[in-house]
Amino acid sequence: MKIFISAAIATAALFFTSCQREVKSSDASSGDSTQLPTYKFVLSFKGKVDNADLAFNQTYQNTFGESYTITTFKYYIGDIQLLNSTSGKVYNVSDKTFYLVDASDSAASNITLKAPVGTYDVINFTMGVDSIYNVSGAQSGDLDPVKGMFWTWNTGYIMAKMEGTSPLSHLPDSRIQFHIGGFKTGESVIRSVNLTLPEGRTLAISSQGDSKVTINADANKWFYNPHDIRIADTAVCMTPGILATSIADNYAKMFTVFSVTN
Amino acid sequence: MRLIAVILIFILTGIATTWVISCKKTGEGGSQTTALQVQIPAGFPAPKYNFTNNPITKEGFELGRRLFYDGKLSKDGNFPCASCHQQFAAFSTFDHDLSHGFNNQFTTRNAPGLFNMIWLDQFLWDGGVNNLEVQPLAPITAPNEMAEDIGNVVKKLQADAAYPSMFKAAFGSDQVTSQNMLKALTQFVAMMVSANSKYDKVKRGEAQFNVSEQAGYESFKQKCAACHQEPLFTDLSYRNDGFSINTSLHDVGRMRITGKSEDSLKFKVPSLRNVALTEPYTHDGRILSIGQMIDHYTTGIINSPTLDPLLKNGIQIGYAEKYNLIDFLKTLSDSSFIADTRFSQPQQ
Repeated sequence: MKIFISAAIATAALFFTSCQREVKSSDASSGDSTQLPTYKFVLSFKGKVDNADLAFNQTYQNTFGESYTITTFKYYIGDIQLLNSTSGKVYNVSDKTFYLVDASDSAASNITLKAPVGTYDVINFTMGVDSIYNVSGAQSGDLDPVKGMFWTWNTGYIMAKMEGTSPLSHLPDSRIQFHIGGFKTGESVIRSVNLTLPEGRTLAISSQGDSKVTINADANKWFYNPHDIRIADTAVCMTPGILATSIADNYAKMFTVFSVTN
Repeated sequence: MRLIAVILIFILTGIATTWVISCKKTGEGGSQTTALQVQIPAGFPAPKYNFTNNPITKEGFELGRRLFYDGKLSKDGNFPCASCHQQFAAFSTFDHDLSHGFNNQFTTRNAPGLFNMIWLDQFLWDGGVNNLEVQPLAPITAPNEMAEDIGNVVKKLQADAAYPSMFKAAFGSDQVTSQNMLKALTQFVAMMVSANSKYDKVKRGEAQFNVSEQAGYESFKQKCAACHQEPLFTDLSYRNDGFSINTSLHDVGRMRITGKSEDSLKFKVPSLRNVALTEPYTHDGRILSIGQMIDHYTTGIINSPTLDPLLKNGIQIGYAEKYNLIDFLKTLSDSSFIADTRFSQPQQ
């Protein structure tokens, strides 16, 4: 008898709980478990071509002497982590949050983040969008498909995009079109980037909240080391696969720390 | 004592039932929504779609329904989702081999019917789309289908007289976003469960096959069910079923997604539910009738390196057997699904 009653109560309870709205996992706050107050700092990404500041429609030369221009230069970064290599202290700044850095938009080139007071000499991040967001349906914010960084016919994010022109391109209108994506095993273009600050420099997060690290992103690095990408042979990449992973191997090395201000 | 217990059970179950029916949720922005439940037919597996971040509500479903029938989602206003997905054809395109879209263009494929979508986790004939929520992005942005830009769709919906309040009612914000638009479309499509055909009624003991349907069912289980597994009538695999490549379309199927030559000419095994309503058949609609399709399997198989091993020698189906099979396949038509007014074009 008691079993019947318990079963009925359990059934009722089941219906009640099924009416509760689930908490979105994306709302989970980042950072470590210690509830220290956090303060602002900025990661500023600066487009470069070798030592020059990236300017759209200006003619540059790649390592093979091929001339080209750039009209679009954007990429995702996320999973940002600060590390003090002496103490071993790690702080996860943006666990599972991804930002679209767009060289044409200064607001989208300066990412404001928060971390607790401390000094750090290494910045780690992921270039690309975590595979989970490539399989979990409709996303928002910087992952919104309105950003034009999402493949609709073969689901997944374009993790990095460089477009431009070159007289060496065999494409219509002499286009260069590198849309680099792929998240599945064997074709992932998601890369880890580890940047050590210049010798003797640290990122010192303070309650002033005005620290800033400027990171250069050199577009010319897309074309070499370790894989040679000649525009005359290869001016387009629009699918996951070996070409995409090769370019990702190259561009994972495009970042250097330019300056740190505290 | 037993009587008291029984009464108690009734009361508690009653409370639970009432709660479900009147279940009001307070969403973001303080909006009230009414929960809807998808009815999972007996014998069906657990759905593959994860409702955790997109529970179905009356408001979200109705928003999705309006979006499904609205040409605003296309570039010139002429191609709503419903232009290729017609309810009377189980949401496939009636009598069209290749579906067509913006500016008098053909696509390269036959539009499949839409039903029982929550049991899929790969979409399109080649399985290129991996989540029901992002499936609508493919036709909306394809230049030969709806030919529109997602940002433009969002702008058009935001400027519409009705949509902002419908988005607010469903999701708590009158700010139109692609994410909420896709969630609403998903809620509408998720509710499209088709499991009330004569076959289903027979399975439930509510009807009986006639002699030829019964004989057809026996043949089906023996000769077709390896790929068209019950109860979904597909095993959701990709197979080369012995068609030559159309040299003007050059559609290599699954290989386009995996990049693997062993996937050349493989396409998703379609469900046979509502098959008599969704002609023509195959990925490019080249087969005009069920009988012609059966003939293909008996005498038309074209050998190629990726041909499905089950079809190496064709399928032996006799003359009478063929017509029994057709009779059985017609029992998979769900007349209540195609007449269900919940899924019909809403009054604007």
